[in-house]
Parts: sequence; C-alpha cells; structure tokens
Amino acid sequence: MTERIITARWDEPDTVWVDRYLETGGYEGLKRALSMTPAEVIEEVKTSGLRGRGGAGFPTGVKWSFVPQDTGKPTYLVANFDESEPGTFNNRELVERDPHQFLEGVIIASYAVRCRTAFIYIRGEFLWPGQVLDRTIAEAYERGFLGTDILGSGYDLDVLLHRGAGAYICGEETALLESLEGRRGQPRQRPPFPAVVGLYGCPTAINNVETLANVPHILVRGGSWYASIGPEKSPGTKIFSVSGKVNRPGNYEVPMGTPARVVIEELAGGVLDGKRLKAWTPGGSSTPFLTAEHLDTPLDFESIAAAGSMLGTGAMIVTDERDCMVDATRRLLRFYVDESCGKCTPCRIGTRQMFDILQQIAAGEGELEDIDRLETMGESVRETSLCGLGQAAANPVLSTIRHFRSEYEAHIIEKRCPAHACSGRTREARRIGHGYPPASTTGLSRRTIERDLGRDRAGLLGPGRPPRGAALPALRSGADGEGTVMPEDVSLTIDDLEVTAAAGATILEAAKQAGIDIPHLCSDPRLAPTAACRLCIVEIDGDRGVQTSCTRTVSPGMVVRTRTERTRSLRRATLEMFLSEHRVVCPTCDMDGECLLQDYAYEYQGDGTRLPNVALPYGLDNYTTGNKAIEYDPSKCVRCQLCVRFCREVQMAEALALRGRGGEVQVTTGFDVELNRSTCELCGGCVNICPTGALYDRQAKGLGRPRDLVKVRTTCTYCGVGCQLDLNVSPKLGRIVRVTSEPGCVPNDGNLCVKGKYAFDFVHSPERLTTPLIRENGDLREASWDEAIETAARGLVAARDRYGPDGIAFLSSARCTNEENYLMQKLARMAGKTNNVDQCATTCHAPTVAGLTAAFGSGAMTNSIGEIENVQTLFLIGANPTEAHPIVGLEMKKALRKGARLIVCDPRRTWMAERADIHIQHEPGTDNVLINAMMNHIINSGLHDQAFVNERCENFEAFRANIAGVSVEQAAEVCGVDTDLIREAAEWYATGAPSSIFYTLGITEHTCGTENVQNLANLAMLCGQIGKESSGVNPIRGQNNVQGACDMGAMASAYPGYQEVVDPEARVKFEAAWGGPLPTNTGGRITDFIEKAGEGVLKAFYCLGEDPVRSEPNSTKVTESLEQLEFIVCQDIFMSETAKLANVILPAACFAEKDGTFTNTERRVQRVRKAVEPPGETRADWQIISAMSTAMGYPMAYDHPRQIWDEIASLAPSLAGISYARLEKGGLQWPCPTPDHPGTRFLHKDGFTRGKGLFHEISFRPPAELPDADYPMILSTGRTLYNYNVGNMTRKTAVVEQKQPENFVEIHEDDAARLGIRHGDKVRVATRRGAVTVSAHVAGKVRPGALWMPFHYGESSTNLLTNDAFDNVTRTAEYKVCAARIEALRWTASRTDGA
Amino acid sequence: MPVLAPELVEVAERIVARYPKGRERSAILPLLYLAQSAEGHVSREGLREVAELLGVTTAEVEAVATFYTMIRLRPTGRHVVSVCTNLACALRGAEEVYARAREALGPGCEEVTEDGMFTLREEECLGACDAAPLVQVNSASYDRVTPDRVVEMIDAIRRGDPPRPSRGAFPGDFRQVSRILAGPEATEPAEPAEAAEAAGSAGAGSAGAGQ
Repeated sequence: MTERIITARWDEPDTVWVDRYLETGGYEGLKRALSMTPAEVIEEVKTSGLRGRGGAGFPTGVKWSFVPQDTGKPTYLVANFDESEPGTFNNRELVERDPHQFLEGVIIASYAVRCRTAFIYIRGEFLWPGQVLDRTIAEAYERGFLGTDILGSGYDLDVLLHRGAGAYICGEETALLESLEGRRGQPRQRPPFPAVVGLYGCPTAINNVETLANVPHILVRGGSWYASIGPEKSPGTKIFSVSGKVNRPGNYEVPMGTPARVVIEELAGGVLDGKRLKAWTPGGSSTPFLTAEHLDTPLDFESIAAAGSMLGTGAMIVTDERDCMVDATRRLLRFYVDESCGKCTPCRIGTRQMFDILQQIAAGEGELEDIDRLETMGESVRETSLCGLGQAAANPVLSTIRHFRSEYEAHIIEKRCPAHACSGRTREARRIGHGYPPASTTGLSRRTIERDLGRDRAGLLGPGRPPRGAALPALRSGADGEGTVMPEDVSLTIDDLEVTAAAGATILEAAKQAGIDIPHLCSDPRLAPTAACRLCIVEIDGDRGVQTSCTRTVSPGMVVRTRTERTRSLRRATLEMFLSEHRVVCPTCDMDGECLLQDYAYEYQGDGTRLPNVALPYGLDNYTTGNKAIEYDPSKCVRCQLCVRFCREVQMAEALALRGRGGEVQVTTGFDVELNRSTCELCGGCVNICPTGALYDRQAKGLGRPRDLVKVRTTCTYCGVGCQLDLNVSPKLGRIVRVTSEPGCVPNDGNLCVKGKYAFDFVHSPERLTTPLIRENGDLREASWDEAIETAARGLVAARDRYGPDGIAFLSSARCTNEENYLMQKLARMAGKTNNVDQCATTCHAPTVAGLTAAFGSGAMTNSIGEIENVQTLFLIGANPTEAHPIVGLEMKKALRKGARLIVCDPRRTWMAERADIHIQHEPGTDNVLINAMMNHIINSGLHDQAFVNERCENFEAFRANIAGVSVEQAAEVCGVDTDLIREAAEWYATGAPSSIFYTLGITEHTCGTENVQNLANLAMLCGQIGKESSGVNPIRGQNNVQGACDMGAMASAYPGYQEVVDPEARVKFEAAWGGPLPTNTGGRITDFIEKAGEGVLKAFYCLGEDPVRSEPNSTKVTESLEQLEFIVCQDIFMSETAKLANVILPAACFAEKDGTFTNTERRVQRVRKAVEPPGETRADWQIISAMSTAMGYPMAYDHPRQIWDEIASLAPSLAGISYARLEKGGLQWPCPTPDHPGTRFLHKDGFTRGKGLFHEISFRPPAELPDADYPMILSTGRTLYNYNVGNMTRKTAVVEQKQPENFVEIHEDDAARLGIRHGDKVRVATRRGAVTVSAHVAGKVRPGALWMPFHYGESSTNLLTNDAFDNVTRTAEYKVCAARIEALRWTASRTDGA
Repeated sequence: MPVLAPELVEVAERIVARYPKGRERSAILPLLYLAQSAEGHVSREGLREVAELLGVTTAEVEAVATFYTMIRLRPTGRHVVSVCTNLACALRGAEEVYARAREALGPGCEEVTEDGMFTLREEECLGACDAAPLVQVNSASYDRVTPDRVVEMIDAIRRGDPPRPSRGAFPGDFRQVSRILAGPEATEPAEPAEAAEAAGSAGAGSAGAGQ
C-alpha cells in the first residue's frame, strides 16, 4: 500500500497544535508557494492532476486558472466545509485531526487566486470542528501565516470562518454563496460559474476541504510526484468513508483506483456479523447504489462512472442482506424532501411525490404502476432539476429499482417486505425542524413598519454598484451620444431555422424573436433570470443533458432544438408536478383563458390527475386578507417566485419574501403582516406578473374572465409620466373592472403605480356629476344642457361686454386632453376676446417653462424617460420621483442597479435620499446658494467644460463673476450641510459621463422658482451636461397633461406651439387661421385672476377641471376673492370646492369616457381612448367647450377630437408631423415637424433652440416668510404616492382610501419629543393664514425644525396654511416654505378646559 | 426590553465588522444565532432587531431565518437532543434510539418538554456516520449511542451532570451554544488549560484511519 498523505498525521493527536504541526513539516508548502508566483502555483497544482474531492471531480488547478484577475473586482476563495451528504464524514475528521494542514491549503489556494479575504463555510452542526478551526485560525494569525505581509512575502490574507445553520443545500457551491451573502441558500443557475461571478458578484474559487488538504503536499513534493500516484486520470489518494453494515466503519485513505473490495472487506473489516453485502454507495446517498457484483470496480471517477454510479465524495454506505432497499430508499428520500430548497419545480414537488409513493409501497399499499411513476418522475427530476440535489434525490430511487426491482414487486404484489425490515412505520415527511410561527395578521408594531419603510436597502442594489468614490465604468453608448452601440450579432440555428440574435441574448429571447415559443413560467424580461420553473429546457448539440434557455446565452453556430421528444416529455412531467401543487379550478378561475399554466398544460396534454394533488387548502388567511387591492390565493400558487422577484428587483419595495423551504415555501410579507402595513406600495406588479391567477385584483374577482373583458389601451390620467394602460371593461356591466399594462409598452414597460393600477373606481363613483346645474336663489337645481349652456354663455358674454375682456378669465385644465385645452384657449381668445387664460402650470411648473425657455429656448424636459437607465450620475434636486412620478422612479432604480451614482438634494429623507451616495439635506429655499457654490467649486477645480461653454453658450463671464464669491463654506453654513458633501456632489456631477439633472416642484414652488430653474440650466451648461443622450435638465411635469396644456397655448403669453402673443407675426397667423381679431393685451395667470377677483376687477370666471379653492395657496383668501365674482362657470366631473361657488355647473366626461391625446413629461403625445360611456347626461369637455363657444358667438363644430388635432398640427410646427393615424402605433415625441419624422428623444443636440445657451446671473434670495418666535418651524407641502393633486379623484377610490385615509404632518422625532407629540397624535398646525388639525407622523424624514404636509385632503385642507407669496416672474406660489407652528391637541384641549 | 441588550448590540457590531464593507448582510446568520442565545429561540422581536442592525426589512430576515433549521423560531427546550436517523445511523439502530429518547422525554418533547428542559429532534445526517448512531446534545456529538445510553444521557443532563461529548468539552445549554455559533466575537476567550484539554480530545472517537 502506498503511504497515506493527508491522513498521515492522524496517528499523532498533538499535530492539531501549530508547534507540532511545524515540526512535522507544516507550512513548508506555504513557504514554497510564496516563493513562487501565483501563476506558478497554479501550474504546479495543474501538473499534479488533483481533482476536486467534493463530488464533481473538476481539476483544481484549472478551476483556479479560470478566476480572472482583470475585472477590477476583488477575488475570493471559499472553502466548502458544509459537509452534509449522508455517508460523508472525512472533512470533519480532516479538520478535527489536522486543522493546520487544511488551513495551509486555504492560504496557498488564496495566494494562487490572489484573494485577500478567504471564507471557510462550515455547517452549523459542526460545533466542535468550528471551535477547533477558530483556534487554528487564531494560531495562524499569531505565527504570521495569516494577516498582513505573510512570512515577509508582502502577501496579505484574512480568513473568516462562517457558520451555516442547518441547510444541506448550502453544500452546493452557488447555494453556499447565496447563504454566505446572507440570503436563503437557493442555488443559482450556472453559467455564469462562480469562478467568474461568485461571491458578491466577484470572481471566486470554491474548493472542498479534502481537496485543499492535498495542496500543501503538492507544493512540498511537487505536482509530478502527486500525479504519479494512482490512475493517470484520477491521480492521488482519496479518503473513503465507510459506514453502515461493516465491522470497522471509518475513513480510509487509499490511492485512487483501489478496488472497492479492498476498502470494504479488508480495511473496513467486511460486512457485520458475516452477512452478505447487498448494496453500497460509492459516493454518499446522492450516488446510485451498486451491488456485490461491483465490488471489484476500481475506485476512481471513470471506473465508477462506467459501473453506473459516481465517485462523489467517496462515502460508502453499506447494506447487507437483512436490509430492505425500498425502506432504505424511502429513508433517503425523506432527507431530500426535507432539504429541497423549494426553488425549482422538479425538486420541490418531485422529491415529495416520490417519497409519498415510496411510503405507500413500504406500507404495502403500492400498485405496480407506482414503479413506472417512480421511474418517470425520477428521470424527470434528475434531468431537469436546477442543481445536484434534485439529481441526487433521483439516484437512489432509480438505482434501487434497477438492481432490486423484485423487492419493490414483493412489497406491491405480495404485500410483504422480503427483508422483514419494513415495520409498516410510514411517518409523514417531517416539517422543517424549527416550525414556523403561526400565521397571524396582528403583525409587527407600527414603528417596525416605519423603520422598514425607511430602510437603507443598499444590498438590493446588487453587486454591480461601485462603492462611493470608485471609478465608474465606461458607458455603453456611442461616442456621439446618439444611440446605443449594438453588440455584434450572432448566427445560430433553432429548430432548423437560421436565427440571428444580439450577442449576449438568451436562447429564449432569440427564439422568441424568431417566432419560436419556448414555454416558461418564471421568466420576465424585466427580471434577472433564475431558471426555477424548468419548463424552458432545450437541447443543444454537443451539450450533455438539457439546458434552460432563459439563462443560456447564444453563441455562434449553436444548434438548438426546442421541441424534441425528450424536451416535450420532460416538460410534460414538470407540468404535471406543477398541476399537483396547484388547485386546479379552471372553470371558476378569473384567469381562465389567460393562464400560462393552463395554456402549457393543454399544449403538452399534462394530466392533472396523474399525481396526487398537494395544493394548500383554499381560503387560508394570508398577507392579503382584508386588503382591498390584492388577493393572494396560496392554493393556486406554483412558487415561481415572480412576484417576490418583481417586488425586490423592479419595484425594490422588498415587501414580499419567501418563507420556509422545500414544498412548504410560501410567499409572505414577513409574519404575514397585512399588505398595507408592510413596505408594499400597492403597485400591483406582483398581480400583473403572476402567471396563474394566484394573485389577483380583488375588486375584479368574479367580474369577468379575460375573454369576457375588452381591453382598451389608453393613457393614465394621473401624473406626467403618461403610462400606457389597458382599461379592462366588462361590456356586460358597462364598467371598468381592472387595469393592466403590457410589458414592452413605452414609457412604462408594463409597470404601473398604485394610482394607475387601482385608483380607477372614481370613474364609476355615485358622486359623479351627471346633470347640468344652475344656481337659482342661492341653490343649485338641475337643468337641461341647452338651458345650462345658454345661461353660462350669457353670463360670460355679459361680463365681457360690461367690464371689457379683462373682466373675464378662463382656467383650462392640465387634466383634460390637448384638444380640449386647445379649444379652451381658442374660446378664451376668440369668444372671450382675452388672453386671460391659464392652467395649473402656474401652480407648479411655470418657472420651468419661463426659466428653461430663457436659458435654452425651450421649456420642456430635455431627455426621455427611456434614457434614464443609462445615466451614470443622477442629480436629483427637489424631486421625489418614487412618490410623485413612480415610473420615472423605477427607471432611476434601474439606473442604480446598473451602477449609477445618486446625488439627492432634498430637505426630506425620501426613498431616493435614503439610498443616495450623497444626500444634501439642505434647508428649504436655499437651493441657489447651494448651486452657486457647486458651480464656483467646479470652475475653481477646472472641472467645467470650457469648450462647450465657448461654443454653445453666452454671457459666461458675467455669470462667472456673479458667483466668484460664493464659497462652499458659505453655502454649507446657509444650507446647514457639510462642505465635503457639496464639493463631492459638484465633482461627481461635473465628471459624470453622463450626468443628468432631475427636478420638480421643490425647485419651482418658491418665490425664486424661475431663478432656481435658470441656475440649474447654468449648472448643466457649465459642465456640458446637456444636449446628449441621458444628459440634460429634466423637469418632471406634475399633472397628466400639463405639458400638453402648455403646448396648446392654454396660457396668457403664447398661442399653441409656444408662438408668443406679443409676436405680431404669430398673431397675424392665428387671426387668419381662426378667422377674427385676437386680443393684444397681455393676460394674467391663475394667481392674478384670484387677486383681481378680490380687487373687484375680474368679474366672471370659467373654470375647467380645476379646483383653485383647494389647490391655490392661502385658501381662505382664495375663497373670499372668488366670492367677489359676479359669475362663475365650473365644468368638472365632481362637485369641487370651487364648483360650490359656481352659478352654472357643467358635468363632464372623464378620461375613460372620451377620445383625445395627452402629452407626457417627455413631450410624448399619446392617445386617450374612450372605454366606457359617460354617466347620465355628461358630455366630453371638447363637446361642452364647443357648445359654449358657439353660444358665446364664436361657432365651433367638431365631430371628433381627431379634427381638432389636425387643426393643432396645422398651426404648431413642432407638432406638424403627428397625426392620430401615426399615434395608433404608439406615442410620438415633439418636435416632430413632418409626417416622416420619428420624433425627438432629446433636445439641444447640436444647438440650443434659442441658438446659444444663455447663462443667467442668479443670486441667493431667502424665502418670503421665515420662521420667527410665533411661528418657529418651516412648513413645506407636497404629494404622496397614493393620492393625486387635491384628491378629487383618488379620494373616491377604495384602495387609496384604505391605504391613506387621512391628512398628516411629518415632524422630526426630536421636535416631536420636545413638544410631547407621539406618532398618530392629533396636532394643530397653524400659520399666519389659518390652522388645520391632522395626525402627526413622527419620523426622521424631515429635518429638525421642519414640517411637511400633503395637500390631498379637503376636510383638513393644507392650503389653508400656505403662503400666497409668488415667484417674481411666473406668479407661482411658495408652497415649499412658510413659517408655521405645531402643537399637540390634547395639550390645547386641557389648557382650554382649564381656562 | 430589547432582545439584544446593549452588550449584545456591541457584539453584533463586532460581528458585522468582520465582513467586507457593504456586505454587512452576510452577518445575518451569526446575528440570528446571537439573538437565539439571548432568548433560547428567535422571536419576532429578535428578527426585527436583527433586521434593524443590518438595514434590511424584517420580511427579508424572516425569509432567511425560516430557511435554516438551526434557527429556532418557536420556544425551545434548554437542551436540544438531536438523534440522527438518516440511513447510515438507521442501519445501526438509530430509530430505536430515537424512540427510546422520545419515550424518556415524554409527551410534547418534539416541541418542548413540560419542564422546559428538552426539545427532541429527529435529525438528518450529522457528519459522523462512522460513529452511528450519532446523537447530539446542543450540537455536541455523542458517538455510537445505544437506546439505553440515550436514556442515561438524558437522566444525567436532568441531574445537571451532562456527559462528556465524544469530542471536546460539554459546551453548555442551547443558548450558550448559540452564542458560540455566533462566532468568536461573541464568546469569552477560553482559558489556555481548558482549551488544551478540549483540544486534546480531538483524536478520540473515530475509528482511526488507514491500515
């Protein structure tokens, strides 16, 4: 016999100590390794031919050589000491008896792959070996074998022992990595292999303990020496661990190739009690059993494979003639049922189904067909499981049927156990040991949820995100900034079809492109593939086994077959497993006809009755119990995990997670806390992505299957993103029952927010206005349309004629269509003869239009939503996209996942601020000093783009002089933030490639709003960060069609297409087109209207779809002013506070009841389509406005909004190329001057609209009202995710009302503590203009000294408080800053009582 | 009262600091062990505090905790007796050992015995098949345990005189062992003599190698 190598020291217990280890030649291998280069070490190990001892047998040196050294990322070595395979125990003994040998191997391997931090992953149950290793590692540090400058070589290494906690699957290398990263140990599909993408996404070598124990010897004695031992292809020695029915169980180290008989009969002393050997495993429970016939097989990888098994870990479990192989198999299967992670279907369901059958057979209740079923299922599980665990589970089943079929038959036919071993004890598969806490809806405390909501989930951003300060990788966009450079195409063959696909595409994608449908249940282009459902398997010529097409990328010349007999039968088997965990109730299922599982089951004729159904019972309480938006039915859930992945990867809400493992995996919010108390944002993405109907929109239950519903594609009525959504209408009910969206649509790719998805029921609200109303003797009464129009027109005309055109005013609506806004301004100018026309842009983004037009010549968002994902430095200032523009927020999240840096300047800790690399939490209203300091720092650091400035801009020198004195220190003082943050933000923005600015009302709603905007334009021009793909200045517009309302000229200063009223040429043009004289006086804005009404100058007012009493600042004054008017006409869908003052109320159709177009924030004109009939007598606004105009003496006659659009396109050059016909194919972005123009993705590419970009000299001005002794706090207002504007629509929807039913004020916890305010307390917030009572939200979201309130609630209207101080250019109010006071109401009450 | 007292929060912070910057989530299992050492199992509050320390949602921590069987989420006996009944041990009579232990511990022992002393677990392979049937008490291994022996062991523990494991010294009750499993940052350094004694027993137990 050859000498023992890695067990040589076992006879000497003292070598566990470092001194004795050194005396026996310890650490000599390390010394030699450190004298070599890493590459030479790898060569030496390659020469040795050492193959991995963990089971797969991959050559160790080759594996190390695969670890790339040029990725810019750290590399890791992980020693896999998760020895859990039944029958194995050599790793444990190797560590217990010679721990330094193993550790020396770890250090040498780490050196070879140039790793600086190595991990040893030890299974938790190995308490004692772990303690041994802790001590060994400590000794190694003490003696300089670990730490810095090991043995003076300059090499540094830390080794960290990481304990598992009871999950066999973590021995699988990718599951081990997941576990080490702090996640559930669910395996990842390979490729990519860990050598390339391993721990934390970095290159990682993973080696088994026994493998590493060999390494020091190879270094000491040379690779050739090692290679000379044993067979050529499997050199070296191997420890065989013998257990079961032998006389001397134990570990025996012999050369590879030693016959099994020698190990079992000689070393292990033969079978116990002189009995005959029945079966043995060569490599643990996961390898097929062999029999006495195979005892002379040499123990090496090749010979054992030839005998029909696998060498695995060399764990030999021996059974004898007294043992029952059916029972042994049953016992092993129970292990796999318990240990399946539950990710992939064949393993999750197949192990359990096989175990159940084995139970039946062992209990004498089997049928002969069960053997066939076991074989079919076993093959399917072995072939299609994601990782080795599933394959391992099938091996004992298939091999015992092969060798011991007669034993199975005896159990089934004769109902007896030939070995008399089956006691009839057929225990259920155990539940996972610790059990779960019982599901409950009581859940966590409010503070927990608050904390969870405000959580830094940096880990979510994935491995791709560089740490703060790291260099950024180059963008994959073209040098000219136009278009993305496409990777080269690859040609391959799929099902005999020549297919071309982009390099990097998956087979699934390539096939889909070629019109070949490969079934899949867990794949979605928005998510990273996980290969869990195992349906998308294909065969690839030259590859062993089947491959998942969702993870395998195309390569040139590849030949793929998607519909072979084999793939079809494997898919059928998997589908039958799916059906067995699904409560199959297609006739009553809402998703009948649109269920992927149903489609595939039909296509493959999967038989739902072949396997016993193991679905959970219907009606179990879960996290959606009581929720009005979403219903989860665990009995239909097939554990594809799409919902959890969507919630985590796309929405990044992390509300859903998986609980348990194996067949017990369930979706939960964590303790099943009710959805509305979790971090869920009710986006409904989980519902949209669910392939089976396990998740469904609760309100739509029973109201129609997909085939019963008509989908009408339209544009969302909430916010400026302009999501494309499908109103699902029940023709039977004549109403919208649910809202969906198609992945792939622009701009939202099938994603929606809570408002788009669930806030549609206002359409069918019983509170809708349905009849025209006329005020008579102070009361409103119903009237006919003719009478109402006549009365309304007469009132307006009378006021115009009596007081002149300045005596009347028109408020158009950013919620109405382009066509309606166009008609409204035309009516104002032609019938009203006044330029007194405005819409809510004045309330929000007028400073944008004014400021950007002054700087660039155009007031619109310069880039597209689709460009956001490629921005590398996101600069957000005064913007809260995840709440105000959630789908833009999703694009920014995508950018973050791709590695973008994030700078957020915001007084509040918003979602984005929490995840920002830099959060500048400046005092409200100090933006300009901040921006000036940044720009001054950029210039002083030479980081500005002088060439861009010289070529493209003007007025630079004056601008530069203006900010020369603004220091970072000064700004830091005024803003209340760190100087370093300001400097770093400036440097990052200037050097980002590309950087892009995003802002909203945090910039505009100030008395210096226009100046703020101009200063951001300055910043962009200074750094040349504009006029490029993914780089520019991007105001995200608020209301759904505020962009369009401006485009349509629903404002005092311009006709449609921003043709100025003061431009005589423009006036002549429109006079000719509209057939009459146009007013020459300049008009006012909404804030002027209110002021003039109060002064008695304005006398009549026509208000379309707005509620200025609620939306304008200082509401009390607004109401008083409007009450001065002689005549008010309101046209709306609901009775608003303003309408309550009206003389005539005209009931209008809402967005779902009419045709037209909206223009979203990225200048994209999109169709609005009629889905349902308007209620009662209501009419579309365009019809009402036409009737009004006609009655006022300027006739308008249109049959359809299309005609109105054509008129607009003929007058506005930037829209000239857009027609309804073109819009049928999707939206178009203006400028689009000709019918063949594709639309414009980003502006100012070769020059600014105005020619040269104009630098403005902006100086800091403080807000109009600052805190003082009486009102010591600063109050800002804004919007929340769940509500929209003044809430007239969202507050009439069940889902929103359940989630966010009442107004609140955010206060910092320090202030709250000081004032004795607890979370949820009623408090009184007061300013000089009024007071309201609301609930307190105590959190760290606002700064100390600051308050924040939304303005959605009529019953406690926040705008009673806000300050009617205005921007000097646009008359936009300073909603973001006013002085306020807050007091706990119970104190107030007690004081009053006492008085 | 928090699960993790200030002293344990300090320990937790030291544990977290072992992992590379930005990879703090890796410390989730050690921190769960730490919470377990404080309570004898991990309660919701414990999960929440771990979530807090790592900056992940409670749902995420629950997702991880329910995946690993050594994290106990329900009240657990002071000592956890685990009997391996996987194939190698079953072939050597482990089922009888388990049955006797169950009998000796009495009703409810698979959750927790009435006196709160024990939880009995039927365990999968514990990596010492040469020493089958293997029993662990609080993760300390006892080799070749007969049905009679397991009853004796249980009695001895009841008496407060736990038998010496086959390797190493008796590590303490389930809580103390959970603290050891949380990592070296969580434990007091062992006295040299004690460590040496424990180390010396490394060779005991196994059948020995080679010829």
